[in-house]
Amino acid sequence: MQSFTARVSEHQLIAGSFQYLHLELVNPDKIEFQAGQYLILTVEAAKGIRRNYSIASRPEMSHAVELLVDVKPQGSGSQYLKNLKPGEQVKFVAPFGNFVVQDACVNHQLLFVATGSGISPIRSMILDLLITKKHQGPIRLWWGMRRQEDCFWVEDFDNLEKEYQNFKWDLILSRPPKNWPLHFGHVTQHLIEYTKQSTINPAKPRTVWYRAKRDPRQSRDNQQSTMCFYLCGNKFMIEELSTKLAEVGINKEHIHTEKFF
Amino acid sequence: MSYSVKVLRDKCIGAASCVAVAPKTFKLDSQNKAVVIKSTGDKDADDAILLAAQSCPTAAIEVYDESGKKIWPL
Ligand SMILES: Cc1cc2nc3c(=O)[nH]c(=O)nc-3n(C[C@H](O)[C@H](O)[C@H](O)COP(=O)(O)OP(=O)(O)OC[C@H]3O[C@@H](n4cnc5c(N)ncnc54)[C@H](O)[C@@H]3O)c2cc1C
Ligand code: SF4
Repeated sequence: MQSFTARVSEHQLIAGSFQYLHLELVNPDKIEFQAGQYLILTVEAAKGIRRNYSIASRPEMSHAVELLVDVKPQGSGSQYLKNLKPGEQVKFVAPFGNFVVQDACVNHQLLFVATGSGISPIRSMILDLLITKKHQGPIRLWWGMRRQEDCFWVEDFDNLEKEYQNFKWDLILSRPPKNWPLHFGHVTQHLIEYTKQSTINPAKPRTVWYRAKRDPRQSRDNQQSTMCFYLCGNKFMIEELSTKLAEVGINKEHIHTEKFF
Repeated sequence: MSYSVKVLRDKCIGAASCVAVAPKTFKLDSQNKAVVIKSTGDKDADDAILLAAQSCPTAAIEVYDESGKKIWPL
């Protein structure tokens, strides 16, 4: 763990209550971390108030870190970040956390699930896997958001999907507009359905994109043991999904989580 | 460690950031709640313990100094 001073070089309200910050490191001017880790930001130094924020950028960019923050909670962390202006300095300690792609998972199907700002560490992990590590195995993302107007980075993930055949993603809105053509509801139900489908019948059309990697003669148990889950967001989604995944036979060791609140 | 700590079990959501920051002081039990490790061996520094408490998302950790005075949350 190391203490850092950084300068806000970009701050944007990107959609709804979501803010993007680019922090250029000042002292020290380089950081080493693993995709998925977080930093602890000083929010009110005099009162010792700190908040945790995952690093949304990939480790390869070692001179800066990007944050994605939902300021909806309106507490000290939200207020502080909302009012930060380019040029201002911030202090944090980093890196922390074990929410990183485990070595034991790299030969497995990697399934990422985020709600809201939980996309932050998952973005770092997916970019690191696809761009830096040239990971060839199947990677799938489900991202649950509330409304269409809250959404951001959609084009970025679409472009990644076009560029990398082993990556597929779905956006799921819990409060979709009328005639929303894509997925809606809760991420939990979509993921469980997918997990059941792909373990019982791996040849179904929805799973075609990675079919080449799998042997349809594998037993259901074998197929399930080739899935690794990374869940990030609110504790309700994480607890519900972890329980349901266990019910459909997923081993606890293959479920990795980061609870934001 | 000269600070002593208490985990408010009802508040803990098992986010484990305390474990990430001060792994010699906190661990998660079988119910995914943080508990204080009773160890006579290697210990976390006081500033790591305070950082763990200050970064707990639910303020579930109380920190006391040697004299028993509560120093976090203030
Ligand atoms: C390991 C870790 C990494 C995190 N990474 C990020 C991140 O990358 N981006 C990010 O935006 N947040 C992240 N958080 C959450 C962040 O640390 C703060 O909890 C959040 O910014 C709220 O702080 P606050 O001071 O504004 O509100 P507080 O006064 O601390 O909280 C007010 C209330 O809002 C709840 N709450 C917290 N976050 C949310 C939310 N997103 N939506 C609805 N209610 C919420 C809290 O449980 C509390 O009841 C992370 C938390 C952890 C533990
Ligand atoms: S950081 Fe707080 S909420 Fe998380 S495990 Fe520790 S005490 Fe519990």
